[in-house]
Amino acid sequence: MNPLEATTDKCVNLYTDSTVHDYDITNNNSFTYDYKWEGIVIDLKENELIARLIESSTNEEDELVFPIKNVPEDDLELLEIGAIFNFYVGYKKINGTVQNSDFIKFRRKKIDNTDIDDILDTMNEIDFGSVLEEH
Amino acid sequence: MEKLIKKPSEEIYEIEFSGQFIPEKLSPLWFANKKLLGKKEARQAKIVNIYEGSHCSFKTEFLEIYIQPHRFRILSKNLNSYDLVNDMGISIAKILEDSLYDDFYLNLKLHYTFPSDETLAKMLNKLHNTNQWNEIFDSNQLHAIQLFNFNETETYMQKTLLSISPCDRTDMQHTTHLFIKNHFHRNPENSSIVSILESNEHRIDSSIILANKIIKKYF
Repeated sequence: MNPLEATTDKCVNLYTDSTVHDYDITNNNSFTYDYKWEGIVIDLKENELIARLIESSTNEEDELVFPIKNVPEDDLELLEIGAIFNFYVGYKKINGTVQNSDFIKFRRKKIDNTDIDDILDTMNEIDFGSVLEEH
Repeated sequence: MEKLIKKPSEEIYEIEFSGQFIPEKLSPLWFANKKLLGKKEARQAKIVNIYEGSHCSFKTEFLEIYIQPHRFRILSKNLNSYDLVNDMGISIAKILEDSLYDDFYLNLKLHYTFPSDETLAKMLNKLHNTNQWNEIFDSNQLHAIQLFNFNETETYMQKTLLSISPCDRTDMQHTTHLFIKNHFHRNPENSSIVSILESNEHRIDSSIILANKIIKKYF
């Protein structure tokens, strides 16, 4: 690719054409967040999940217990040991009133056959059979 | 993730694919069926617009999706959610692999508001020595600047495009754009969009470092 090559087949300026603000500029989200922890589920109990968390800006680590009822209904199917989630802390605006709030959001990433093949290849390379024999 | 040294008035992290898409087919329900959104999340998505053959745009609590026949964009207006944008982008690149062209963008779009038009104009004039234009214009003022940096690897070519220009939005006074667009063009012989996306999951960090250098020097 020539560095000076045009990036589209139309005569437009990528920055000054109408696409600069071609997104909805209104902000009507109920939840606003400034702080985020990245978590991994390390254990599951009947009503709680135990997670290792890293604060995203300071990298401070911590272990916390969350009631499973705080996991959004949509994300319950993703809840398992090793699952990765974000824990956001911010505030909600309800009828003009600001309230402190937090939110758990599990990460969703499509795993395809190539990923599964990669995992199986890695497992084969590790040679679990000989590891088990040694013990 | 790196942090911006100055809080912007608006921040966006965006993945932009080019390809061939059928916008009306890619509704929130489609995303829920592919398990890219939760069912409740999809039901509660705020539809911005759906026009057959032209647009499908909607917003969830964390992500915004804008689809046109040749563009597919996923963005978040909170940089803390860059990982959710990446997850969605990588999943889309896997599911719609055959619909994608060889180019895509990882964009950091920032808006910075200045106290007055004068302070904004002063900042813009610091970006480039405009004295050489004195013979042409009596009183010249820099309006905008665009620069790019080119980089090539075995698997892709990449252009970082920097743009600083005043914002014309009526809801933002004395405001400038600080846009950093990372344009990737894959080598179809030895790479996929997914592999390039995965190896650039932290590209936002280098964009923030670049933005911070500019903010520190000029803003």
